[in-house]
Amino acid sequence: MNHDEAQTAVVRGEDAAVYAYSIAGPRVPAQRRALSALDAHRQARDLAAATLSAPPPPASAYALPIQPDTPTHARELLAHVENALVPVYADLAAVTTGDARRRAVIAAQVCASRAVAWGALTQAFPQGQVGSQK
Amino acid sequence: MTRRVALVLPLVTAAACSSSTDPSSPSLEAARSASVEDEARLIVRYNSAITTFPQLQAQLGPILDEHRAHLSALGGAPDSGTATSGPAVEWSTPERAIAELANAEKAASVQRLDDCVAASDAQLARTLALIAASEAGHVASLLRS
Repeated sequence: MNHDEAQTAVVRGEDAAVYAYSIAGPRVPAQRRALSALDAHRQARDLAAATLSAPPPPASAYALPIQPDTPTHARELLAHVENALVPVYADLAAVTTGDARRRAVIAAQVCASRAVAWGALTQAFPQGQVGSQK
Repeated sequence: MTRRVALVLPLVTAAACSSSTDPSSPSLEAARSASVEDEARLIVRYNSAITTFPQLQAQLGPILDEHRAHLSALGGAPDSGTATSGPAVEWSTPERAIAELANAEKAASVQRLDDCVAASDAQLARTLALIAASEAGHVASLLRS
């Protein structure tokens, strides 16, 4: 995987996160946390897109692995999209060095922390998993 | 597929694709061995906390297992982190143990970040990035309790 491929995967993953937060965010009790994360994912998406000459456009809709029909399922979906971003940022860390790598690792750490805050079980090597909630 | 095989497969695949892999690189070895030592120390602390307060097993056991998986992925010896790796830790109360483990995880997640930035091998950097994220998740989990 080269740098552009890794950044493209970040853009796609962040777009999927923005979509999931837009749908599921209003359905969780922790409104402020959901809004702040939505904002962070939008910014991360734009930062990654700015590194690409032809960033992929957002899809109009994404297949959701969990339907956020209840507050519990909404939390599960948010935990899932956060954990799913961790290996994407780890891939970016692998193809960058110095400060760029540091930013990629911190992004992976923040996503893993948010997943746990939404109720995900911890993982040795975090990745998106359906049904890994407490 | 076992958990171990699932872990190793992507490592092998990516290593085969990486032209920069040089197992004899000094910075590769330094970043890896620093992380191995730190993981072994964390394992000692978790073992000590669980031995002192068996009621913490359900909460801390899964995190201990994840550190063992980190150690294994970094090529550390499986018996690292047993009592011979360092002195047992004294804990006054279960709450104190959890708070001190949360601090240790916080320090570890920062250390793993630095180790990752220092790694010259791309695949080692990817593994350390995932471990750094896992340890950040541990902090969140311990502070949530």
